[in-house]
Amino acid sequence: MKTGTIKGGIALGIERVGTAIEDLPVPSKLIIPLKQHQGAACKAKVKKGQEVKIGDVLGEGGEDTAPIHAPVSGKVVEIVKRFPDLKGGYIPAVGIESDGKEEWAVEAVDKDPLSFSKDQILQAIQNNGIVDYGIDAVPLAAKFNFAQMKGVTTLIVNGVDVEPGVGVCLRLLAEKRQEIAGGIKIIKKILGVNTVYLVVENISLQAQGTIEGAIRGVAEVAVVPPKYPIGLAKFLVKAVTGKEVPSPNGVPEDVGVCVVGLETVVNVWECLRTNRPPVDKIVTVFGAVNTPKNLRVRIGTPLKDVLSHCGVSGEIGKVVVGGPMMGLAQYTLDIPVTKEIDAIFVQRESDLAVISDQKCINCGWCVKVCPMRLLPHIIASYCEVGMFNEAEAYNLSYCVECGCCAYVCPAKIPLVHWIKFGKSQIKREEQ
Amino acid sequence: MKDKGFVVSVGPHIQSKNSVTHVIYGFVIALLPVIAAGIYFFKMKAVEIVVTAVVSAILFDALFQKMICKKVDLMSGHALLMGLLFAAIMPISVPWWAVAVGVFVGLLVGEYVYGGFGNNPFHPVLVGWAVLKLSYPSYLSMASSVLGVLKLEGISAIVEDYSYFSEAYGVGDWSTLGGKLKLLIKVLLGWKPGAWGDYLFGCVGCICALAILVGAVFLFIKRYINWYAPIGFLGTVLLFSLIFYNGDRQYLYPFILIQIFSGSTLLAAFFFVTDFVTTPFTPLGMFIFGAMAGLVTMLGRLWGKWVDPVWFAILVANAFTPLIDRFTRPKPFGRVKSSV
Repeated sequence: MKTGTIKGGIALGIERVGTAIEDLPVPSKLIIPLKQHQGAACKAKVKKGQEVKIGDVLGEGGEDTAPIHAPVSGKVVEIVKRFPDLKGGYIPAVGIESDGKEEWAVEAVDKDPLSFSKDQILQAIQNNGIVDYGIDAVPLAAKFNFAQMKGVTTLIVNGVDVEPGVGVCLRLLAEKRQEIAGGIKIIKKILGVNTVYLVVENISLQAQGTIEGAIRGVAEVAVVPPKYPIGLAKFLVKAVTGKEVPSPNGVPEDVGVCVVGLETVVNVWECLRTNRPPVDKIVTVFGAVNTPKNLRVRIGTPLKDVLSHCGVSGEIGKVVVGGPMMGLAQYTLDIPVTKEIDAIFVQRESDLAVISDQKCINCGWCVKVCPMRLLPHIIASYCEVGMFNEAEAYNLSYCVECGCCAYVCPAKIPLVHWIKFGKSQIKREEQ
Repeated sequence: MKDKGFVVSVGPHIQSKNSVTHVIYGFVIALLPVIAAGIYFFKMKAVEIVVTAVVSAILFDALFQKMICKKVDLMSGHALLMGLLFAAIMPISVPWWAVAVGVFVGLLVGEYVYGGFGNNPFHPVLVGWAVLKLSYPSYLSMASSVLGVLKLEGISAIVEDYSYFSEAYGVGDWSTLGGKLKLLIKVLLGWKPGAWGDYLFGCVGCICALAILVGAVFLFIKRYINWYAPIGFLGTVLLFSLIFYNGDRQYLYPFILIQIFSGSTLLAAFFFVTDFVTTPFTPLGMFIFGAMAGLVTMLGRLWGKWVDPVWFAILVANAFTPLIDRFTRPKPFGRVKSSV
């Protein structure tokens, strides 16, 4: 067993939701955005009024986009050109009314995925629209091709939920051990690597022991402390291998490491075994809900169905997808669950974060917690007064926007806000 | 449950509970035992200084906030903290009007000319102290404090006095381990050169080392201060007293005790060197800052004319803060040579 940690970051002390993964009933109407990862949106392949079955292709794009499949059998009732994206802006989307039959377009098979050749596996991953799940989802086949081009030597499977409170990886480690081991074997075959680490948090020694037994001979378990933001790829690479990913524009592949999420690994195995595209997403719902839960949600389920299943009492002020630290606040509950959503965090109006215009008192707490070893208070002060070049001289672009600085700031200065503002202004100047 | 119209903002959506007001009141609470010890030792004289300092600090703070057109906020605790800190560093020989003058000048010249709390390069309390020290040196003379006696008569005189008087209390010889511990306890509780009940002189907040330690422990538990600056400061003081002590070797132990626990060393180490606004923000910078303040302090104590130049030393180190910050910038994560 390997251990490692990073400098900076904070132990937030928010307990992860640890309930068993529960299936959410499929709602009668689903809306599926045609863009569920970074890059371009897919083009709709279905027409209004068309009958679809689970697994039918709804949208397809070019080489670098993952196709999107129908998550439910029923009728296409609308094709929306301008549907609100969870990252802001508009994207096309397909609305499907469920007929309740749950019919699949492809028959389930039970194959041994390890018998496939490398090209067959990559083709299957691409055709079934598997992405590396998470808020910055990327098509997995493209990611593996890039990793092969870069000649990676190490694979890191990320079993740490980045955001505090989220329990997706925690539950997968407890419930899907065989699938994890199988998925890792497949990815090892694609990338041709021998060094594999499965990174877990040291929150439960018993869980560590069982997972170590399940993946013996396949991967080595690496243990990291429960410290935010150690789950980000950059910091996992640092904690496990000791290498620093070059900043500001580097990726883990630059230092010969490929980082893949745990849910991705599970989905690769399941998809290859059954030859069916993954249509579910596991999300943690927590915050100001009656019962925080880990749910297996059909992709396309609007947030309001998810929230009403968990029960919300009182007025909610903020709905955040992704988690309390780096998550994206949404203004409407029409947004559906997509491949990008790991968690839904609900806040009451009385719990909202406050900001103030108080002067920075130079306490240095933000400097101490910054995992990128920046000087957030100086960068933010420069951005606040519009001196973006000076902010860049203090390495503005290195910031990963993890939010540790704004979390600890006693003066309640919205540091991340100023930093994002500065980045956007610099981008605008360059254009 | 509503469907639309939720608050949208950038993350983080949660915050720590610590605010500037919390931190300020934390320092105020940590100062309470210090002030209480001062009142215990100096009775009404200390009460007079504390009340004058606090009342004048609150009044002048409100006045200056009004003058620079800020909202007058007396609940922030800032003025209260400034008053208490000012009272803590005043020797008891100072008259009440001088305290008010010091607070006035400290807040005006030390803080509000720069735009208020958060912008001042020098600690406002110490600026007020410096003005009093230069204007009314006789009131702020420390010649009759423990450090003053040390400077005038030497360590042997103090220790002989101690041995002579403490025999009456059954302390006896201090060369054994038990005797050394008793000496340490006596120093922690507020040591004076003469007999118990004899005259006692010192600053309101510096007389009882134990009270300062209690306050410091509170601040450490609350994580309002960290150890970098105090270690740098106390370490330098200790190092200098070890290396440059040139008296009788047998008196080294009481000499070090006096350097660290008597006078204003401890108060400076936990309440002034750890100040947020006027000190560096990187861990290494804080350490250098503390070491620099300790260096100037010991230069003054060992070879200078001043009895206790701690406050002066911190003002000097304050002046170096921007420079220290400049040279202790951490190397960002993943910086590669070509991108410099």
